[in-house]
Amino acid sequence: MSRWLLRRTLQAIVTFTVAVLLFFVLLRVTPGDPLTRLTGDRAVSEQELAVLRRRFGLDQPLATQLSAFLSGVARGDLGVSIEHYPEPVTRLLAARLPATLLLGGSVLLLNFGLGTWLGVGQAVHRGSRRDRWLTRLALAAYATPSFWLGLVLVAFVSIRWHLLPAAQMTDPLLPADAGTLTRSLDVLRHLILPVVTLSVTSIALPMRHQRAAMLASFRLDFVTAARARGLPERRVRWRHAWRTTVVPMLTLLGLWLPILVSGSVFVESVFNWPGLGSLAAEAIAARDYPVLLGTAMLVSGAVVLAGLLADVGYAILDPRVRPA
Amino acid sequence: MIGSFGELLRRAWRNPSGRFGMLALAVLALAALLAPPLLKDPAAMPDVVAGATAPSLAHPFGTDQLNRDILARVVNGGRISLAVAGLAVLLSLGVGSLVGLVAGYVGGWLDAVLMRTVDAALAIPRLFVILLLLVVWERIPLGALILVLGTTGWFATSRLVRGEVLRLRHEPFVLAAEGLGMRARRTITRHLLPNAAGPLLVAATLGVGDVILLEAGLSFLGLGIQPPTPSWGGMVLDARPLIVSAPWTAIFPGAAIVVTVLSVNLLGDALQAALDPRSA
Amino acid sequence: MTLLLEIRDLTIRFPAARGGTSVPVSHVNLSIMRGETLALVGESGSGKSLTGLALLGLVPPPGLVDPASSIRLDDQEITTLRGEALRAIRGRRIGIVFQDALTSLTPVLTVGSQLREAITAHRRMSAAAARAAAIALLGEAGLPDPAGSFAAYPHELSGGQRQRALIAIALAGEPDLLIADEATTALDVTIQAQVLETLDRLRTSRGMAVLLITHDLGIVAGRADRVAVMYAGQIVEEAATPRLFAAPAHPYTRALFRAIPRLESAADELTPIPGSVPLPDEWNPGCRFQPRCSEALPRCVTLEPPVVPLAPGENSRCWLPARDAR
Repeated sequence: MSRWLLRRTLQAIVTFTVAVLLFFVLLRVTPGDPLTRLTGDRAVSEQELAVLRRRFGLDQPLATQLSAFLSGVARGDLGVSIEHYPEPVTRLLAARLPATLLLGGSVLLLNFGLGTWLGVGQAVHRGSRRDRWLTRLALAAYATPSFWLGLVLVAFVSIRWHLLPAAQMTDPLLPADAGTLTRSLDVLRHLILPVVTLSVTSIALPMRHQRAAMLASFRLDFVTAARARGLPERRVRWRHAWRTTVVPMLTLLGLWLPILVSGSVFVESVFNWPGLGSLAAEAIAARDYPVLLGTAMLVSGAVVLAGLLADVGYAILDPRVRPA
Repeated sequence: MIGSFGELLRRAWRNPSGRFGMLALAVLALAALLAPPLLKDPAAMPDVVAGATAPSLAHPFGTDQLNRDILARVVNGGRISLAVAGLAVLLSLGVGSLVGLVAGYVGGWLDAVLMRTVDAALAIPRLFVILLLLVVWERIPLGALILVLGTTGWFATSRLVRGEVLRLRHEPFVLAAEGLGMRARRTITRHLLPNAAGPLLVAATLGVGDVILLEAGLSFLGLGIQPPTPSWGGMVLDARPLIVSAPWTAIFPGAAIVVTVLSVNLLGDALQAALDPRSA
Repeated sequence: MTLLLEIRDLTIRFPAARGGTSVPVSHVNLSIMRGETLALVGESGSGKSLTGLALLGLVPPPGLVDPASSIRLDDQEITTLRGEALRAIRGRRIGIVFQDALTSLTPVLTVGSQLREAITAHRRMSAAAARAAAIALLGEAGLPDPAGSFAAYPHELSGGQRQRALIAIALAGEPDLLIADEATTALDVTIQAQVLETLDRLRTSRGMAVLLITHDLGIVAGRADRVAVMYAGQIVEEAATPRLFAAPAHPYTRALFRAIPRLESAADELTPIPGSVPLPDEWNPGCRFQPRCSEALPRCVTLEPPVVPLAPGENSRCWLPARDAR
């Protein structure tokens, strides 16, 4: 088991390294002067330019540039922000990460839970009106741009009807001595609309995967065999049929994550949610290349990590796949 | 096996969702082609004083903050969005097929390198790559936008084509043909297109939907289609300050996106079901 | 002996791929007495497995049992049962052992948890008591390490062990009738013999009736009290085992025996039955076996042969006059 784990982890590292290489290629391929990209329209002294040139090896051969880039990433040095000069990119990322984890994690949980329940229901009542309409609704929701849905929700739920806050993660007017419960509830109130927006526009995927997985599971012999033993249908459905789909569903996490992350750029931007997505949006507006690049790399690393964790989870949960 | 392209479409038509998708797309396509001469000039003199007006007989979708007819802008925006998406998807299809073919035929270390790269590329969310490529421009040329969209969407296609090539390679009839002296590659090529055409068509159709959403999002962020060319995403961006006072300025462009992407996805789904009924 | 199960006029229909219907099981009549072993013999495609599934209401959709069919268990009609009533029959009155234990057991649950669940589905008991009962049952089924097998996952057991576990699970509800649907077909010959021995032992100790569904006449001898031979969805011959082996009445049965290799026979070649089992849309209006029958009469093509009674509980579906071989 541990040999396999080592191999799989190595594989993940290789994948991430190749991704970083791709980023380097991206940097070189993008039109324009890399130096301008790093300094933006800030007034920069000759000295600073020299420092930057050396740091990124811009007057060096390609190989040196590549190694400088790679070693920088390995060290955790992703450069310095233009907009918030001289704030290191990593510090900015670290500051905004928790909010995105909260939002993303909530959406994942909601999507997985709700998607499972709806998808299983669809499979059990395959071909029914409920099944067909759920698919259509989910597809319509998937076709909805998250930034648009967010705006519409803010306009009506927040501004017109005053039901939920319109922006940010916390209420700036909250008294300084407010207790943990009050603070938590405050964050929760702010969390609802962004989560709903992101969840609605992405739930079609887990729903459809779960439905397909259940239909495949129902066709397997052991489901009939379980029924033949006189087990209640509910038990057959969840403990036998569904349980067998959990693990394959996990592996789809790697598939959902990039979509969630992309969606969060728009949703966090619309709701002013202080996470990585809005950081990326701000970086776009300010042409803050280092921050944008850093965010992209962090997010890619997260996706690779999620894939690795999903595989490990697969090995732990599926008794058949326990490798030597 | 589907005998022909026509058969595939016919089966998709029989599916009510597929029919809706095809009809809706036909309407959109017609509107995009025929409407412009019939509609009010979208580039008419902007009138800030009059501002946004609610939907009326004269302006069925209302007017935006510069008193431009929204219906006309939605239709025009649609033409451009669909064109951009179509071209980008064609580019993706081309690049992906090429890479997949090379990887499948040549095999060996080239295949390994290519596929590792594809794996890594798939880990990077497409949006971020696009952002990094586009953010360097002050004003993004339409060609650059299409190029960027196209070159970031070929990874899944390459896997698909490569998979098909590998599958065919191991088919007994290919080995048999090789035994008779025919080159394996020729046999594979002859059978590749009919086999892969269906899945490729589905992937392309769904890909168009993805690109429309992406382009709308980019336009919303200011990195897509540049004003004053109308784009749905850009219209939503402009409507942001007016969302409460003049919701129609945002609702119609957004609804246009929803209907278009939904139709495309329904069609893609129907095609998918026509290819493999068990997945329905 | 009392009558346990009576199947009357069982007909199962399936809608065919291009419209129309196929009838893989037609007008089957069978009776099983308490404690007796009835073998249902036939090639694949004869409809024997479907017959077994019909007893449990498990005919796979879109297949349907004809409403005129009747299956009476202890004089209770079970074809009309649904929901809880049907569930009460499954496992508790009628149990089934399938051919492939690897695909018949849920891969993500341990053998023990599936067995325990089968036990508590029909009897209330504490978790500890259920566990004890499960391990006891596994031991009874002949597993050398019952506690170990209890904790194991299906794929961790050998083929024979898995099959024994499957038998244990089928017996968990203490059924009156056990259906063994090709239960030993996938096993090695030696293991097969051992598992059949176990089945026999369990049967006598419980006074259970067994419906032995198989294509292998070899395992029928000495194990079944009576035999019913099935071909193309119909029962073509029914007889007590000794009589069937000594003097098979139906041409199909005779052909089956001729196709079995015999050690003492001097012949160098096997005599297989020419042709193959016909698909439902290839059936004759008359006798379905006629195309492959070496003794067919002209009328066999167009006229359905009658079911000729030969002795109490014995009959043959054939136009040839019954031959008395005694």
